[in-house]
Amino acid sequence: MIRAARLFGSLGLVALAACQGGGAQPPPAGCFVGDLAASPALTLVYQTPDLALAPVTDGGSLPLIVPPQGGEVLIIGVRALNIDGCPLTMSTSLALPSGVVAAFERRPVNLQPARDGWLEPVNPAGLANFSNLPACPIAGLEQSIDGERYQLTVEVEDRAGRTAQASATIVPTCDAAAVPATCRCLCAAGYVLGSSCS
Amino acid sequence: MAPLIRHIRSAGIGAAALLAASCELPPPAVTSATWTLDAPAAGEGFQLRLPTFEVPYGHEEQSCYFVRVPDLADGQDFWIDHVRIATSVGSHHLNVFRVRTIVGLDPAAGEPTKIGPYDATVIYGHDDYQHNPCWASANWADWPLLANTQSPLDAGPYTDWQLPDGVAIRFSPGEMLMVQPHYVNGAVQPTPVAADVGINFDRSKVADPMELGTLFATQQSIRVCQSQPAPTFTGTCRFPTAVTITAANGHFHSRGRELSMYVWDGASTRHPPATDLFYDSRSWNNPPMTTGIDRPVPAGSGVWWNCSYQWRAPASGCDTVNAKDPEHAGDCCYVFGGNTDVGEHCNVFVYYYPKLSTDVFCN
Repeated sequence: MIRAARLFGSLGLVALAACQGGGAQPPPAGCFVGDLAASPALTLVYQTPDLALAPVTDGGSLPLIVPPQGGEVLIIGVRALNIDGCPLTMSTSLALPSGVVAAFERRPVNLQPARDGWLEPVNPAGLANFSNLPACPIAGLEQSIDGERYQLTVEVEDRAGRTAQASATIVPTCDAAAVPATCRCLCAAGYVLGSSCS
Repeated sequence: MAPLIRHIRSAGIGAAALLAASCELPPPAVTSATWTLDAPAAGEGFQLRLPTFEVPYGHEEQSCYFVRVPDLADGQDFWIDHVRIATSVGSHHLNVFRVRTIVGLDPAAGEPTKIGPYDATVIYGHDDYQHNPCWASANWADWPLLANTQSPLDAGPYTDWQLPDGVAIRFSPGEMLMVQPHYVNGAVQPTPVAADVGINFDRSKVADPMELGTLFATQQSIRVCQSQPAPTFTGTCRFPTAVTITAANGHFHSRGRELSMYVWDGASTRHPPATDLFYDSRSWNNPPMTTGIDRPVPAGSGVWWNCSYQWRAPASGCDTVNAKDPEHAGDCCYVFGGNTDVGEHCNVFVYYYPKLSTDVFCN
């Protein structure tokens, strides 16, 4: 379940702190946005193949992308409120319906204020402030990654210990991959490392 | 130490010189830094001894050598259960992969050379991490790891790896291998004499051994920035079946503080207990190659790792580091890959048995 009333809607009561991210400026030491007395809110976003942000919708497809170090990954980000986004520790997992965790990773990310008053990833076209969630290949899975349903879960924690969690059922897809056939081969159940995908 | 290995210990190389903070320091005084490694007897294995090469001071050399496995068994597969690797002082890493899909790193595009008696090709990457295909790890993302070692500076130039009884590495005659040495010559990591690399693969005498499997993982898009100087990156990677972990090592650069690996149950997103730790390195320039781990893990399990870093000011100034940052954050961030002075890594190497279905790559 994604815990947020609206994803990109405006929130007039949100107080903006000075969080000047992006460009050639290093992130500031803290950039709380929202209400200190309110519970943190979190929504999931992903990076599209044309490097834009899009909301993760329950049951929706997410594109598999070839990252700089090879394989296929999901580029998952968060939009957040009532939390300090400079930095957030972001923990992301991809699980089968059975509860088996296909992949997990944790990293620090930096957020910056968006026009609607929420925080969103600094440099939305980059990779640094997203989870680069490993997706293919994954050894020992009984189902394909491409075209199958998985539970995506993100937990975040700021330096003050505020936490939030969001999750959604998603379907990773090779449809938008640069070479879909290669992506589907790498993402197939039982893929043997080094077998020909061309 | 195997009797055929005779170690001539290098003199004058101390930790202080290796950890010198500034690349502008003069090279440390080193008087001797070499090794010997006799080739296996005919039919008992084979040796890959690379041509020696110079590493000019202030430079790095990463090259990709391609050579085919010789025929030691009348055209049949054969087994290796003892790997000895010798690297002269200055080795940053030595990786051996099995060549599979050709993307941007093509053996046929290399210059002809010889590796001992064997015809080979080489693509010299020098220190051109921005353009040379020997530096782009995506080019070998589906090439199974075969063996690796790193700078054994205080342990001597040898990695002597005897596999467990009844476990061996399968070789097929004619299979293409890629041998990738990386040398650094600077105040932080000196290469005082010509770089010299040799690998011995000794045949197993067991008739039908269990096959060794390998796991290579590399964490994506890491960065170590001035504004957040002590980050930790965590990742996981699943084994294909129930296995026994037998050996491991890790790789990061000089901002690396600790690289630890735990058995992961494949179901939890909570940190594994301390009792599941099977590898820990706090030495970026001499990470241990831990062997004899012999840790059985059930089906569905994997590896959980943490790579922790401490930012420090680059000797060459932040401009050189910023220039490499694809995010253009202006935060003096060391980012994945590239030369050791401006790049970072979080790489995991794990060896297991039996390999029932596949080797493993995780990104």
